[in-house]
Formats: sequence, structure tokens, C-alpha cells
Amino acid sequence: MKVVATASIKGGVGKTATAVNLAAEATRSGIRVLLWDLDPQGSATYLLRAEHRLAGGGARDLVSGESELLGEVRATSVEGLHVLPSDTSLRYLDRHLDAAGKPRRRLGKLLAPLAPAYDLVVLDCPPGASLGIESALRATHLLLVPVVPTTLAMLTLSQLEELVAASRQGPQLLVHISMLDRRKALQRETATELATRPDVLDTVVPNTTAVERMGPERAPVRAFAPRSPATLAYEQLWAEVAERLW
Amino acid sequence: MTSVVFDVSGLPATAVEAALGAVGVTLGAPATLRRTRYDTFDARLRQRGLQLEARASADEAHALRVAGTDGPPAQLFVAMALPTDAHLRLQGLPRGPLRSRLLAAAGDRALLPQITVTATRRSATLEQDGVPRVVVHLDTDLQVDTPGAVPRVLTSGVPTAPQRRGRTAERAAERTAVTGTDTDAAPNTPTVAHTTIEVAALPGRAEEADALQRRLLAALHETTDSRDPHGPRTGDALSLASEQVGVDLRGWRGPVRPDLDRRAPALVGFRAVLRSFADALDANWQGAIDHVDDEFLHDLRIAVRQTRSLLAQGRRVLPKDVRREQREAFRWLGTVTSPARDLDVYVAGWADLTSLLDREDAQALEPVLAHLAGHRAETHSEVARSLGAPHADRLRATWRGWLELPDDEVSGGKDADDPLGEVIGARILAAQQQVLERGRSITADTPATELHELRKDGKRLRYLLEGFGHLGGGKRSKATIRHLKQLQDNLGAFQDAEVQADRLRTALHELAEAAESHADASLPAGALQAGERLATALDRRREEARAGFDARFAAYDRKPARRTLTALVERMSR
Repeated sequence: MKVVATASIKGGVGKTATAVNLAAEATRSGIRVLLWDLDPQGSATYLLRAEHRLAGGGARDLVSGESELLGEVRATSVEGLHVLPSDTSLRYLDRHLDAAGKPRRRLGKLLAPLAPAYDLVVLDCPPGASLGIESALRATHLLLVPVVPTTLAMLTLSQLEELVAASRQGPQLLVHISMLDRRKALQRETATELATRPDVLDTVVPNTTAVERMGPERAPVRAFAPRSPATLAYEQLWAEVAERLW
Repeated sequence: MTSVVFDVSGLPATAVEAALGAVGVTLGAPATLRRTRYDTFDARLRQRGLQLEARASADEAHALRVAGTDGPPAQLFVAMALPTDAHLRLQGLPRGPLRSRLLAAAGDRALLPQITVTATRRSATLEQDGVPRVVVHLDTDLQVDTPGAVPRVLTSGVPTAPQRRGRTAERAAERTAVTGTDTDAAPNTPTVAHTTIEVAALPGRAEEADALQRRLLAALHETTDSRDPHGPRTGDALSLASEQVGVDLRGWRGPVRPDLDRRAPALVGFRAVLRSFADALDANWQGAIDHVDDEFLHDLRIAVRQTRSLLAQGRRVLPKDVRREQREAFRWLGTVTSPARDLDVYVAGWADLTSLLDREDAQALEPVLAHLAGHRAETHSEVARSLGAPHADRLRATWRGWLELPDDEVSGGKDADDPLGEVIGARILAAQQQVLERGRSITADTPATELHELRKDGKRLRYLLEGFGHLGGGKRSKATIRHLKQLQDNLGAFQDAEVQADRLRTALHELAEAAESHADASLPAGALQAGERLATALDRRREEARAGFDARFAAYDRKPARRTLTALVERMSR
């Protein structure tokens, strides 16, 4: 079982859209996928039509091992994709991790029993640089960072890189250009500069209405716009990621 | 995801739709869906809890779908239609978890299409607050095809030999005569369900699915005012169709071991065991002809060897003329199938062999593998010709005809009416004595041929134990076979290394000769030297096995091991 995390210190960069679409694309190549929505906002949970709620004591019970991860898994509107839904109690994830002991290893330990059931786990991390993110990085094979080609986004990318560098057994970090607005010259220039880095993937996800429509449609882009540039971009993104995983 | 299926074939379409409407199911647009289930001949996927299907829908989407007991189903979308009448080649699938899972489960066995169900499907996902709860499928106009060589179930529940599509009536009749079972008796039968409702529970939603099933059943009964439909049954429309047309998704599980009585006449016991060997022979016959995978021929040859061994042991039990005729027939079967099996083993084990070399040497020997693979293809053509010939059909028909005669119509040799346990016990003791005497006489100077003879002695004993050992107690029998197997493994390693080295040298010689006499044939530089290095490594392997023989034989010849066998014989002869 491989674990891929989508993370960014900056919010609003298309992190959840990447997680949901990547997970949906993976299901088309014979892979059993679980998306774990670690963001208390629950956007991925909403988009995949799952209930925004964990049973019992929520994140606390899950992190402490009181409740089993598999028992909380829900089906989604995408065949082959399950989701471990978000819950408002995830706001206190750091506290629960701390209480459970060895917090940086905790998520990896929780994920281990899922190996017979899933080939891929996608972690949709909340924005920021928290203990939860550090724990997720430790459990992850590949960290996918969507970057909107702007100066501030570039700044937070270097902050995340520092976090990965500081993490023991840190994951491979890959960047993909997200929400590119080709009408803006500055974005085009920044994207061109960014693309020269060796850890930047070829795929560029454009800023399209199809991605925006994921909200009202409550589905990955392929479900309602199978031939849109966004769908093709996520298909290509998954191919690039899969190549590095298997 | 667990699901249940209702067979609503007997109900009018309006009644079915009304019942679905009554429980809040609004179906989507109809679409044609063709599903083909695959498994190995011996159902290895099923044993691991996997269900493999190729799906093709009207929009030309082709997908391979694997459902298991853990996690969601995996779907691989592919560009081309998947075969519904030929085996699926896993090596042709893209690398990834799905291929790895299937390869791990199927091993070397081919994935055969077992059943194809085509239906017009309308589906509905029941949601609450925008969250999917239960999935419902209505399949109408179901058509079933059973395209592959799969075991069939007759009403007795006993799996029979595989059937093949496209056989002419004459061939089918011949087969029935040969096998004694009507293997083509379950064609695309009109009794199969043509309309089904499938209710599938989503993870964490089992209770809601159960509730819907109950409500649906009540609605169906209310609508029709009868005890139809049939259901619900756990499974899906495809499993239900398999059951109805008699396709045994449990696969071939080896011949049914006869229920033997040690006090029964020896001839009765011999014939029962020979019948079970004949079942294995029949089951693997067509697969060996088609060379679907290597295991068909392998299992066929085991049945041949077991039969030959028991025919040899049947002196004074089996009728003289039958024994003489069948020993000759089975000797022929052994001979015509031997070269292909030898080359199967050689080619399948090539990676293991060349692991003794460095990469450069292994690459230099690629032409040898190609040369052997060419020979192998020729030998398999020969197998197909021989086993497909009328002579072979007659041979099987004669043998099966005699085996199926009622016991009171068959008379045997002078020991035929002696108690089976006594006769077999004496044979086992004699075979054991032969193993011990020959084994004890082997010294460092003994020629290799004596070790090969000892291996044959061991096989004779093993077949007796496998066929009849349980008459003296299953536990003792298994322990004795285990001891013997450890000795046989050593002798097998010794002989295999010798045969492999000889074959390699022969192949190199043939290739070198071809290179000299044909301008378009060439042997890469270094091939001869690499081949010689491999042959030397095999010689070393043989010597290692030879060096280990004394200890292995001593372990076999230990008093406790001998006592176990003696106790086994005493028990069966009592």
C-alpha cells in the first residue's frame, strides 16, 4: 500500500481538488483507493458525498485506537474509492496525536492495518505546518504539493520543503502547477521559472470552471466533464504520480 | 460490498417496476452491460476471495474489475475488448497492484472465461442528504454464454470434466461416451433467470441495504400476490446464472477420493482408485491439448503415472488382458507427453537456472532459451496431435468403459477377491523393502543410474500411499509420505541437475552446428562459454544433492519412520 499526501502551507491552492481528482483517476487504473480527509473543513468529504462525521469520540477515538479506521470508511459516488470522512473534531488532531504518544509515527501506525484492503491512501491534509502534517509526512511515500504560480505560494513551498527536510524518513516531494491562469503574464512567467525545477511535474492544472463546478456537482471533474482540460490534466497527473509509485 | 439478488423472471415487467417504485427506487437509463467472469481451472482467485470480471458497456468502455473481501473493487479501464472466449493474459496488463494481485493469486495458471452474462441494466443509487446509501440494479434480457473450459456440476454436485464451446454434436457424443458423463448437458439453458434485481450494500450501510431488501421483497409479493419471486440470495446476477446453467465456480478440486473399505475385494478398491485417476485424466485432457497452461499437462501426466504404477501393482488383482492392454496404452500416453513436460519444466525454470550466472552470461544464453522454446512448441503440437487422435479417444473410451462396468460383471486375477487392505499392505511392504534395499546399497561409488532407479522405487511407494494409505490411518499415511518426500526431493534435485546440464549441452551443440551450416544462424559471442559455465554450475548443484543423499536416506531409514509405515500396514491389513 502506498500513501500519497496532498499538502500546502498556503490554503486555496487546489489541494483538495488535487486529492479528490487524483484519487478518482487512480481508481481507473485498477487501484483500490482510500481518501482520508484530514482537513476539519471536510471539503473532500463533501465533494465525495460522504457524511461529514465520525462515530463516537471522533478524531480522538480514531487516533487513540479506540475505534478502527476501517469501521469509519464510507463508500463514495466513485466506484473503487472509499473515504475516511472528515469531522470537526479534527481541529484538535495535534492534541489527540500528542496524547496518543509518539505523535509523528501515529498516523503511519494507524494506516498499517489498511494494507490488505487498499493499494493507495490519499491524505488530504489541512493547510499549515502542524504536528498532524509532520505525522502525515512520516507516513507518506510521496508528497504532492499544488502550487499556484504566485510569489507567496513559492514562499510557502520553500517552508514546506524545510519541514520535509527536517522530517526523518521524509517522503519524496513533488510539485505540480495548479490553477494556472494563462491570461496573467506574471503567473505564466512564474510557472515557466517553476517548471525548471527537477521536482516539478509536467502536468499543469489550469484554472477552469470545471474545477469550480466540483462544488455544486459534488463529484470529481471526470464525473460531469469527462473531456474537459481539467480532467485530462488530472489523468496525466495521476500517470506521472503512478509512475513514481509502482 | 455484499449484495443479494432476486430472480424476478416470473413477474411482469410492470409489476417489477411498480415494486421498485414502491420502495423509492427510480432507475436510470438502460444500458447494455456484458460481464465475463474469469478464474483459473482450479479456482485460485475464488480461493483467495477474489472475483475477476471483464465488463464491456454499450459506450465501448472496457474494464477489468476485481472484487475481493477487503476494500473496494478495483477497476482497470483498458482500450481494447477483453476476450470472452479465450484465456486472459495477465502479462499483457499494465504493471501495478491489480496485475500483482492477480499474478500472486493465479500463479502460473491461465485465467479462463467461465461465464458471460449480457443484460440490459438500469441502476439507481439511493441517497439521503446527498450521500449514497444503497445501489440497486435491474438486469433484464439476460443472456448467458459458457465459453470456457470450466468444470460443470451435474445434479449430484460432483464436478465433471471441462466442456468446450464449439464442439460438434459428434464430438460431444464421443466425449460423453469417453467420460461416462454428459459434460455438455448444461447448454445455454432457457431455465436461466432473465430478469434479476440486485441490491448492493455500500460500506457501512449494510443495515440500510437489509431494510431495503425486506421492503422490496414485501413490495414484490404485494404487487404480484404470489410467493414468486425467488430470493433474495446472497451474490449477484452472474453467480446466480452460473448456478442455474451448472457452471461450477468452485473450479476443479482434483478427483474425488473414493470411499474405500479395507475389507472390500481388492479388485473393487483398485478399480475405484483407477476411476479417480481417470477422472483427473479426463479433466485435464482438453487443457493439455490446447496447452492452456502448463499445469494441465502436468496433472494429466501425474494421472498417467499413477495409473501406470497401479496397473503394475495390480498383478494377480486386475484381469490379465485388461492389465496388459492398459499398461501398453498408458505407456504410450507417458511417452507422447514426456518431451513436452520436460521442456515446460525447463523453460519455466530458466530464470532460476540462469540466476546461477551473472547478467552478461545470462543474456548470452538467450538464444538457447529461444531454441528450447521452439522445441517446446513442437512437442506441444505433438501432444495435441497425439491426444486429439481417434486412437487416443478409443483408448480412453475403452478404459472408461471397463472402469464403469458394475463390479459384479468384472472378474480379476487370483487375488482379486482378497481383502483390499491385505493386498495393498503387502504391496506397500514390498515397495518399502525395495526402497530400503536399494538405498542401503548406495555408496559413494554407486553410478547415478542406481539413484535414478531408487527415485522410481520411491515413486511406486508414494503412489500406493497416496491412493490407499488412508486405509491405515490418515495421520500415519501423511507422515510416511512426508518422510518419503524428503528423500524424493533430494533424488529429484540430483536427477534434475543432471538432465538440465545434459539438455543444455545438447542445445548448445545444436545451435553451434546450425551456426556453422547456415549463414543466417549465429550464436552470440560468449554463448558457448556461458553455457559451459552454467553446465558446470549445474554439475555442482548435482554434486551438492549427491553429497546430501546419505543424510537424507539415513533419516528415511530411521527406526521410528519405518515403524510408522509398519503400523500403517498392520492397521490396513487387520
